[in-house]
Amino acid sequence: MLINIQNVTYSIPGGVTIYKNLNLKVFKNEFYGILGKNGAGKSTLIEMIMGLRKIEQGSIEVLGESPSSSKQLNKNDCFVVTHDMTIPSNIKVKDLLNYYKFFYPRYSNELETQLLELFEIDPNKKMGTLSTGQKIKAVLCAAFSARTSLYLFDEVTAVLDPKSRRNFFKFLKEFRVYNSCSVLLATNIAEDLSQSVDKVIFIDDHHEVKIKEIGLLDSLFNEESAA
Amino acid sequence: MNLIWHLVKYNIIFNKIRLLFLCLVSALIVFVSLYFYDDPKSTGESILQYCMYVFFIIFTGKMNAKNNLMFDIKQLQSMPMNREEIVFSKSVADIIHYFPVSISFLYGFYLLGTDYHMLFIIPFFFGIILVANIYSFNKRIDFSRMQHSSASFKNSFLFLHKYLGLGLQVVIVGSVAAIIFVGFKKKILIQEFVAGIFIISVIIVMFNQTIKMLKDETLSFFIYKRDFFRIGWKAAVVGVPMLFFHLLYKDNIDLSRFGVSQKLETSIKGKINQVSSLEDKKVLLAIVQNDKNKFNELLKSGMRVPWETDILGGFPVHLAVASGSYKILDVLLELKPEEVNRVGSKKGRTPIFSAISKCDIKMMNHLVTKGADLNKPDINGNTPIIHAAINKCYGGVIKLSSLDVNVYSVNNSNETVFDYISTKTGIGFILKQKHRSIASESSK
Repeated sequence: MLINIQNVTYSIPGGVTIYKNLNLKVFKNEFYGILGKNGAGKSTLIEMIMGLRKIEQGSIEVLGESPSSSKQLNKNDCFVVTHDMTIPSNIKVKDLLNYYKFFYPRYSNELETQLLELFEIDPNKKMGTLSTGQKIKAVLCAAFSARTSLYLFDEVTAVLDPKSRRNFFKFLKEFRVYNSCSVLLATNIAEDLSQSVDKVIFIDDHHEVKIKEIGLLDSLFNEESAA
Repeated sequence: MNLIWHLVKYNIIFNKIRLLFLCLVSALIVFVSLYFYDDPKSTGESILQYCMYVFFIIFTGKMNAKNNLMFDIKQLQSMPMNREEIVFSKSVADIIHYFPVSISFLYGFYLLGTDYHMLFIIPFFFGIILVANIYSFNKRIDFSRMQHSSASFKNSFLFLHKYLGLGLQVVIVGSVAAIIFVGFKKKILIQEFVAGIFIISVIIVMFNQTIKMLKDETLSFFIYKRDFFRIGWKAAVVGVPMLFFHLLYKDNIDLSRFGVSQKLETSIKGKINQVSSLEDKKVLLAIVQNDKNKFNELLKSGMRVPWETDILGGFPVHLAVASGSYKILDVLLELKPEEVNRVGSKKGRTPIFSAISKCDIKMMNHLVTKGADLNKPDINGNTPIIHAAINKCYGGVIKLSSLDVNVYSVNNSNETVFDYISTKTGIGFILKQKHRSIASESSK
């Protein structure tokens, strides 16, 4: 099991409760999509798994260790890409990739070259000269080259152009065949998930979490609209 | 160590170009201060002041949520590094970042000649930077992302806050202004005025941002708390040096230099009110209040000028000069022309000293036309030109140097006017010219 969330309660400091008794288990080679309205708590869930949020109750284990512990030995087997991260504008793409390479022992240079071609990124360009989507694609090149067991993607597909988005899912599908890895993808685009993910974590307006098979996605929306 | 080097190599935890820039700025502060000031104390003061402002800029820059030259905290946290490793690497990097300006700061401290030993100050100083940095960094990790929250008990107060936004800003800014300008009215430095303006600006900007966010996006007590934490840090970074300089110099400045004479006037009026004779009191008050009609009326009604009444070491002529009462001064000097050089009881200063203290050049000229002695020293041996130099009344120095003044007169500390004015400044140059013309005349 790569992620084990048990009876977790989380509230915004001085604010409302986002999750109450949340339970979630992510096993090896599973692909979860996270869907929900804006403000439902999709990014919060990713951040809780990253250890950025202090939970009130329960326990979270990521790769067999607590994400908030001071010593995390397996953190280099997990890669996080978020849409809102600030990337230094004054370094080149190849420097950014070298920066990531240092941290991930299974980093593959061959894969990196393939990905740069696939996403049409020039490694000699400075990050500051790239568009938001291109920046994310550069980080995705590093992410897949790192060949980790767990990937957390927070709304990264929203900034990609249609071709890159298709390439992303196509590549991810093949990638999972050769490198067994688990993926958690938070997104607002339900169509993205229909052909790729195994299960959907649906967070409703009342922060209630429902986990459904992808085939039942339509029924989930029907339930929501009926409510 | 490998990790730190790796982060430094890719400009992740600080920017090398910025570090180079800070080295240049720090060197510039030292060289400019050394060039323009001759005595070590003034040089040290100048270096300290400017270094404090550089610290302010670096520190507040760090407190900003986003910096497009570096990865943000969230990104660092997502990397395969432990929190301790991130905090440690960042602190080491920050010490390097602060290093150039810290060296200049400590050099300024050394020049200032305080009683503290530098071996004590250096670890103490870096210790404070390290602790403050770790604390603020940890706080930033906790506040790494804006939180959304709907109503809660605490948030309900923000409804009120939201609608009273502008009013509350006025109250807060007004309170800060009151603390700075009224609380420190006894002794206030020009740096404190500047720092006060800084604090007020920071508070207005931050508070506006908070209110805007509350109105536009969400109504969360968390945002309110987070932004107040930021305001607090920024205000403290300016406020602490302000307090530091205030305590350092509070006994060494002349209020009138900064136009803060209210307290002096109040004391004079208070002293006049203690005069036993009602008639004398009326005359003296008319002088201090620059009320020439009343003064003339009082004299016409048969009242006399209390020439011997001592008010804070000065006599009526001193009071007329200090309050800028030209017409009353003329009347006084018509009655007793010799009073133009009346020596004060406490410091032995003639009326021209009072004009110099206020740097009132017009009054100085007026006294010169009335026959003021320009070389008569006070009890410290300071002649008017030395007094002007000490008070940084450079207009007065220029004026006096153009008159029949002995620029070589020495005070009780065995110092001349040249010891108080850098020879590298424009005024120093004028004095040098005078020195040369005297020398050439005497050689002829």
